[in-house]
Amino acid sequence: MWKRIGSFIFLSIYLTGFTAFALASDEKVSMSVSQKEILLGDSVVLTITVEGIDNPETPELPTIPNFDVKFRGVRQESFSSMTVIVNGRQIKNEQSGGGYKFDFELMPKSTGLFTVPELPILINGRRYTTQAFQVNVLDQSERRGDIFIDVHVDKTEAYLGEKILATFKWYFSKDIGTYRINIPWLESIKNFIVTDPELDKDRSYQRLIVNGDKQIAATKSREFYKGQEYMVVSFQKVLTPIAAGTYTLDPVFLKCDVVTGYRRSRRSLFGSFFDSDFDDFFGFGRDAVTEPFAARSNEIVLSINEVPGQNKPLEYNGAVGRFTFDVDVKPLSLKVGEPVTLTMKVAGSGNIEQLELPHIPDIKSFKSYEPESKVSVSQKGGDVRGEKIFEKVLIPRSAGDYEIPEITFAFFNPDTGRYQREVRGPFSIHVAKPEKEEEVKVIAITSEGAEDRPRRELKVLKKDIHYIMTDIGRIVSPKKPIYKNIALWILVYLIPITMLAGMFVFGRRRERLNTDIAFARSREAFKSSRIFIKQAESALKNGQTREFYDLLIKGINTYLAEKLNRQLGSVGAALAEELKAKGLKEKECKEFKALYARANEVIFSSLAVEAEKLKKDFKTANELITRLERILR
Amino acid sequence: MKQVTKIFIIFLIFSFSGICFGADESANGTFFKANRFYDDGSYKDAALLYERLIWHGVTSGNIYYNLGNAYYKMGKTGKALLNYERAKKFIPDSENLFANISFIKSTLDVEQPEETYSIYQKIWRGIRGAVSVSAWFIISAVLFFSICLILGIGFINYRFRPKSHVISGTLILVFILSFICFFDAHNSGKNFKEGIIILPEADVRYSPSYSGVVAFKLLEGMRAQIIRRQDAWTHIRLNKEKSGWVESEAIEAVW
Repeated sequence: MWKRIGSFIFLSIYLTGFTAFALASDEKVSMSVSQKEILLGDSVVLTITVEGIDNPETPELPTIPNFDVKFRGVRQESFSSMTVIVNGRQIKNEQSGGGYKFDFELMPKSTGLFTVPELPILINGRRYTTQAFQVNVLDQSERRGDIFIDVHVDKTEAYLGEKILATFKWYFSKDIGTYRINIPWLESIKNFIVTDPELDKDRSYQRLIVNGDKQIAATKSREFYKGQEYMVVSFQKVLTPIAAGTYTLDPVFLKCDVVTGYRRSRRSLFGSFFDSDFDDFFGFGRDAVTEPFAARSNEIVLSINEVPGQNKPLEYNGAVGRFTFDVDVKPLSLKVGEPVTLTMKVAGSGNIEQLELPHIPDIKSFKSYEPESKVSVSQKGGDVRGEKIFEKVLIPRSAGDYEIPEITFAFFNPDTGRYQREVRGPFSIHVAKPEKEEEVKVIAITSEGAEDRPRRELKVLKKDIHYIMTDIGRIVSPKKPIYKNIALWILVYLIPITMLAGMFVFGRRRERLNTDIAFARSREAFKSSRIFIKQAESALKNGQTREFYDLLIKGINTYLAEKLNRQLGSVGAALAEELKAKGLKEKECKEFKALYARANEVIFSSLAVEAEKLKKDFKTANELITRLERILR
Repeated sequence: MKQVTKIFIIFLIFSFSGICFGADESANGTFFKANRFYDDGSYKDAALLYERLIWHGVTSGNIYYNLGNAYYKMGKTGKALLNYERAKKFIPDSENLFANISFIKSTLDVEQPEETYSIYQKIWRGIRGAVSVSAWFIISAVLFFSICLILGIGFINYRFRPKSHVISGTLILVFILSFICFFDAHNSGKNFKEGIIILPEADVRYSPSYSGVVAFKLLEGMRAQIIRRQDAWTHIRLNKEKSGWVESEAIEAVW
């Protein structure tokens, strides 16, 4: 509902051709129409504005052929600026017209181009007449989609060097999320020079990203097309052909996400809190629901012709367009050594940037320097205009009266299809002798012959802040600084200290192993004895009783010799008392001795021993070594 | 019972992941919407949306930068500079950011009074301010680890021991210096927060009361160190000579 009312007001205010049709001192009655082109089923709003009349009566409109007319109400407006809201978007109005505004809705009955004639209206007994206007009513089938791209050129046929203005327009009537536009002819196209037209200082431009990362200054406006209102993003490019032939501007490709609706934001944990009208108005607390969309523009074929060879002037050097030519020579009276400047100005529309120096015949008695040129191009409507100024400095070598001969500029005019020659001059110059020879001005000449004049600095005309960032950037959650984390302090300082302590212990131990033989032997005792114990176990499994006891005793002896730092031959059953003194129990001592006694009997007298007994002795030997490992630590 | 707990945990995980995904998607959408408002010249609406993002914990240098732009376009240079200063933390290398700060500062009518320092203080502040407080913490930690490692290698390898003493001795000195830098930088940040005047004009008084004599006036966009807050008043200092009390709403801390 609000959308419709908003649109109604918007139409009645903006899309108009204001036409004043009655003036009487302070009284003023004017009319406007919302649009000149509509689709069948839509309507035109005719607004009659009455100023300077208090409480005017509602004007009565006569019957209008082909239209049904309905009065839609009156609004009283002041001269202050007002704000209109359409489809949830805020649009600032400039000074609106004041007075009373009577809105009439005109609904067409059929399609076609209709002329609404001058209408007589009566307001407070005074008679006024509206101006006639035309309304083009189109069939619904002519409606374009919600989003489309249109590319058009101001001419499809041109001569070599003649500028062609290409206009890109992106129409959309729905909100757009992300987009990607690919324009194949954006920066270069074979046999064309592609340039940007000068930006209009009075217009605001926005950044349009195309071809991945190229930024284009584009305008954004609202436009009616085939009776439907669109937001239009547009920019232009100037194409200058440098070779004849037929060329194709490939279609522009668009891919975008179209907002088809909104859903409540899942992100907000405070959804109910923001569930107010204010939030809905700006779309807060809502997520856009999008659908992908792709479109392709029309293809454009350009036909570039060579300039005709017939009647081509000798002075012609490639200028194509509509130009004027002026030459100024200053000063006309000077002294020897002083410079005279020849200023040649070519202005108009055409290949201004590519223009070359007009033909200048040889000028004797003058030292001539390389010309300098500056070019400025501007775009007015669809016309690319500009001027190129050539400045040539001449310095007379001697006094006398001289003549600078005629200077000719020739160009091809595509409108007439003919060449034009513009001739200026000749110019008479009087060169006087210098008052004193030494006062002759000397102009420094560089080795290349160019005048050594100071270059101008690049000046910034006006300053402003740089544009906003177009991407959100790296999102960083606000967090405590790392040094406020106690755990990190402990980790950062405790780990190195622990590591240092470990390395210290390891180093000391390694050093002792290298220097203290008793310690080193003691550390290796268990490991050395295990070799014999394992061999004894194998002998036990193989039923080699003698070998078993031999290896078992070797294992125990090796352990004791290493552990106590003794000779291998000096250890045996005799150590039982010493071990007892070190903590070996009485029972364990007995077992120790018994093991040695049995081993001697088997080794030296081949005594047969039961399998159970052998296993028990093996177990006892293991337990004894384990026990001694604890005692002799 | 176990089954119910399991289902509840799965539900929680899914709900949370949904929220996270939604937040990211919507944050971008809101950001682009704010940019569109900016493009349309609705700077107030753009600023509202950027602020909303930050309020929801979605922070990035670009958001602060754009918010600064929006405030500048609204004529609020103080708020603009405040948000540019915040953006610095995230995008310290952005040329546009520094160009904007420099441009806005050039438009301020009053020169910012600067603290006067002796040559030694300048050197010390130069060293201390070379990196952030967190960076000093990391440098100290790395140095400490290196010292322990080199000493440890010396313990294990007796040939390296004399060298390890020299190297670790040197590192210990650097470590002490870096730790002092960390400590000093941390303390100065704790004691003085940087703030920016966000009202067109702010009276700086000798006492936290409207009856206090006005010592001087600060203009929008000027920087001051915030010493402490007391009720509706904030104690600020510009340098050794200039300090006083302003209304709290006139100044906003950068962080």
